[in-house]
Amino acid sequence: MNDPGHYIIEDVPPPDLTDTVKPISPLLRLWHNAVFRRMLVILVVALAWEFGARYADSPLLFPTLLDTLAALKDSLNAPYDSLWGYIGESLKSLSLGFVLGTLVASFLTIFAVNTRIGEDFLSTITSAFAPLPAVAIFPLSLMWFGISQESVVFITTWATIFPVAVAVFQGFRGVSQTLRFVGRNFGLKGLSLTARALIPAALPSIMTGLRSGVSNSFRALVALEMVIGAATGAGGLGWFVMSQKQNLEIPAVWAGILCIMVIGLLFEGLFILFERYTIRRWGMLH
Amino acid sequence: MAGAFHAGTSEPQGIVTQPLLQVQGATIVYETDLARVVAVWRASFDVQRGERLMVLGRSGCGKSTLLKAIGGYLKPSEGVIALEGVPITAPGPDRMVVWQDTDQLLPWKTVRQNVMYPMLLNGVPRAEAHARAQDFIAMVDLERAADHYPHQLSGGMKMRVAVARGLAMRPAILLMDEPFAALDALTRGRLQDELVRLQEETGATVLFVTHDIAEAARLGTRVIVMSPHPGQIKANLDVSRFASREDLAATISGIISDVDEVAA
Repeated sequence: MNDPGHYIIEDVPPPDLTDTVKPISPLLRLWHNAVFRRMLVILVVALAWEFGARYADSPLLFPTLLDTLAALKDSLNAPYDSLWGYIGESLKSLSLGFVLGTLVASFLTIFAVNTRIGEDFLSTITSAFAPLPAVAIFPLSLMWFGISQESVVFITTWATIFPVAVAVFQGFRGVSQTLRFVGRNFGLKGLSLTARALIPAALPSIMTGLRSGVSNSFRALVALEMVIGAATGAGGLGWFVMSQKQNLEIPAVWAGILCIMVIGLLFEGLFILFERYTIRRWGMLH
Repeated sequence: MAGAFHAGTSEPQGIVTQPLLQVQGATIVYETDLARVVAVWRASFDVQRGERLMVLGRSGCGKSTLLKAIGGYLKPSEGVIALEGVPITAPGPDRMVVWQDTDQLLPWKTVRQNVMYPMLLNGVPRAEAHARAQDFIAMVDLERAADHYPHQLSGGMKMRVAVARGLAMRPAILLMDEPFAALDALTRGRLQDELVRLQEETGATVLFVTHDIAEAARLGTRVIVMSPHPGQIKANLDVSRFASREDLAATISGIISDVDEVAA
């Protein structure tokens, strides 16, 4: 003890680190793993499906998970007219529309970020179109492009544009004045400022926009394929589900729906993976 | 005591050299949707190489506006601001700025990348940029955090990175806009000492905006006092003419209360 009289310096030895930091149990660590917890959710839902369907005992209206999986396997392995073809068709329309839509959204955003009238244009147009589902303009695209791939891509493009444009615009708007000043301080301006400072800074919003763009587009696509497939007898996953219903291949209908959901989950997984190595790592997303 | 400071430009010191930075009759006006505000009214002063010039004033006295104009973000509507004789027209890395906000670092780059980035953008070869970043990161005592991302750092550490980034660029002048105001008192005191040491080691020229009399008295080699509405320079004090920092602080306090009386 050191005691100069008017104060005391406490002389407690520092603790052993192994005493203060204890690892948690492996079970608890597993529970903290998001992937594990989500798998658990899927497992529970799958079990509920399987046993629910067995209990209902109505294979035509509600096939069991196992029957559905068997139908899925058969559809994928079918030598002629396999499910892979339908998946490919859907992904083609979706990715074309997504790329085109994102391009258009980028131009709209650049216009909106740089001019006040551009901002007015974007906000007014998006508010006006917000209540309108993309499928609602399908009759127009039928008139302009006929019953064709172009019609479908037009709709997927359309469905991508507004969610992406709005989110990216909000993202740019949200970049702090300080960060803009910092970029200009380094000598960045115009496009180099956008590419090297604004886009990375707005990445969380951009990701949100791309996500909702993809899912909006995918939803419109599936609905559309059901309509257009009835006229042409061809198309993607939507048409697969519809045509299997017409053939009364009910487990295959469920397999098609399951397939749509799995693709949606895969997209989500890709986004999450990308986020983990970017914005999450940089502390821009918690 | 009254003779120890004087308003306006500094007196010639015998040796005639061009000042590093000259502010001559600069009036800075900004326009909002509602009004046209004169933020700085006919400010004139020089900054010599190697100085730590403190610009002191209450909030609203135009000191940050003045810094932004020197930074090239605003143009004076009257008068001239010139660096090495050349009027300032745009922001540039010869006037690196350290801001108050802790989000001035790029969150997607590590400490080292943040320090290197302005150098790489402005033609410093990668190897040299790396070496210089290494030196300055060591000088601010952040070697262990060099590969961390900004969100993993404390406010004080982020501020050190910003100072290292500014100095590593070897700017003609380092502009600091109330850099320590948002930090806790202990950290602020440490960073103030560090800044003086770094500036003395590197011989950098620093223009430092603050509203804190003690900070101005502690750090400056010259102190400019501004008054608000409109922002005007009221005094320009050469710190070397004062017997002590306490003496300087007392004088500054006196000037500030005189200014307030006039305003009231």
